[in-house]
Amino acid sequence: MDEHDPRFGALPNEDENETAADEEVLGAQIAAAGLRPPIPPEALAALAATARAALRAQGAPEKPIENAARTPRTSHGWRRAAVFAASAALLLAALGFGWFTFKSGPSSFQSGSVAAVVEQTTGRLEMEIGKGYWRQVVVGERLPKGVRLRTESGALAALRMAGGATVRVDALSRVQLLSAGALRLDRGALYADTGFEQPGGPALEVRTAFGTVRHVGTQFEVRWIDGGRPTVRVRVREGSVAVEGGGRSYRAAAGEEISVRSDGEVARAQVPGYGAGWEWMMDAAGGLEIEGQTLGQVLDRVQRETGWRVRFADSGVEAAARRIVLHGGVGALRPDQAAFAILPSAGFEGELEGGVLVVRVKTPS
Amino acid sequence: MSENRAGGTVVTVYFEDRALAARMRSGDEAAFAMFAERCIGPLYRFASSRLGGDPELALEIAQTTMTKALSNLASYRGEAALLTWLCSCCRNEIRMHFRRKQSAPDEVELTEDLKPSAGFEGAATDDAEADLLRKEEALQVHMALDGLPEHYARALEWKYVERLPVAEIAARLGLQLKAAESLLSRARASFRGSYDKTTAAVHIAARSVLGKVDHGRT
Repeated sequence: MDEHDPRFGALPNEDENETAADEEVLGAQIAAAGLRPPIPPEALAALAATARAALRAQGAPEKPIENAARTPRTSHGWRRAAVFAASAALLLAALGFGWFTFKSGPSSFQSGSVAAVVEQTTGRLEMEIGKGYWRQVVVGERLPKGVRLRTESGALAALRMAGGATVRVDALSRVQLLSAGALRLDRGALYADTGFEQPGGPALEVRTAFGTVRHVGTQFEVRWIDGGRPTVRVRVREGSVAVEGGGRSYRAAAGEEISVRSDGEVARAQVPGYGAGWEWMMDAAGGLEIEGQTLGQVLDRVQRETGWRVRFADSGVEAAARRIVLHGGVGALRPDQAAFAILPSAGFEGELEGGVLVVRVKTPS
Repeated sequence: MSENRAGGTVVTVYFEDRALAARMRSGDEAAFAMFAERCIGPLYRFASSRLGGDPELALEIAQTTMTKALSNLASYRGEAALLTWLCSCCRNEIRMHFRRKQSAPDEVELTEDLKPSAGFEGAATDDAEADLLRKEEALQVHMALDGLPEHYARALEWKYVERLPVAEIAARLGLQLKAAESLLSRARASFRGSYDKTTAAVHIAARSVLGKVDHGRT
């Protein structure tokens, strides 16, 4: 049925029936057209990257492009959705252990020129393709070194750096990917989780107008604050960072924030590692993937994403949680929302007290 | 290709392109490479030719086209060549772009019987339609060359545009004379196949050209 059509094949063989007249006509055609105006190689590369990304998005139904339009649920709506999602999707089995993966998408960095891969978008993430020209970036697209990105109002994005770190980009941000381990923040905010950096790889650093933020195994947010005196604020959730600029270095540890103003003034404050100030970066991450993961692994991830500390009521509860394997999905629920959806379905209940999620066996009602 | 006659209607299916699309959807890297070689350059050139040579806008439109078309690759039935399908999508994107800007450039309708002829180069005329046909023919040739392996395309340009002797082409390609002649023969055969596809791609869009055609204003 699928017979080969020689007119549209690669035609690698010589045409033995070609006459001199045939060649003359063809030669005249090509001559009349003249030399081809060159196509910029970067345009061809960008088009190839776009084609790959579109195909990848099409071939991975669990992370389609439509996910880009996903909007966070409201606090009123998500609980009902959570119960529904969890009830419908969760099947529990007390067998085996899976390998936890967050909804990470392809993290293929075959080319050394790739700085990051887009893992998730909500709203419009754009890259600059020429001076003043921007185009939308899709999930799965590989971003080259040097590229400038921007998010519009309400848009969020999650990137996986080639060095392994996870970076979330807040709305109305301007970021440049300098290399596999370095970014420049010119506006808005980004959140970095360097816990997954490859050993021996480049340690992530964030450069700003007022200094460079370097980390020591950490989760942190860098925010550019416009105003009378522009300020770069760094909040540390885990580990510690050093903000270096103007020949000086300031360190901040977990639970601290440090603000460096344009006039060089530095201010410090205490900041909790959980709560409303961190929610935007959970929205940026998209849904939590639970298929094949143990409840314990999911709770570990919830802990890392929310900044909460998970405490089991006793060792028996923890052992049980680490044996239970989850199947299904929780849709677009954020990690904090997903936790309360999953626990009851698995026979547990959770109570949040001052940033500590206490997990215990569900009390019969 | 197979032709089935049903009630006098000829149904044309581009089996090879349909198979290529299916392989691309399944993640076949070789299929993607073939697609990239055959379609990416011609698509960009098509967009550029319809947008007055604006490189940034051409890239933006071509990327939008690529994203939308490949996201709907499952809907491709092989009723036109892949390149034709892409150019058709591109034409729609260009139309929407100008509609959004509400600044569509002049539209030029080409009638079905306006076919470019092989001897067009000697028939220089001020006539706008003839000028348009000449440009369309050049575009078609350039797109066909873009759809070839680059050393084939360069060899053809060296021979027929720059009129280099085969010995010089052989030297540039690092080949013996006989091998260069053989390569040129294969390149011509490939060009004919590629040109047939660009004919359809360009003409399907030429019916409603949204290029910058100035009627006697240039």
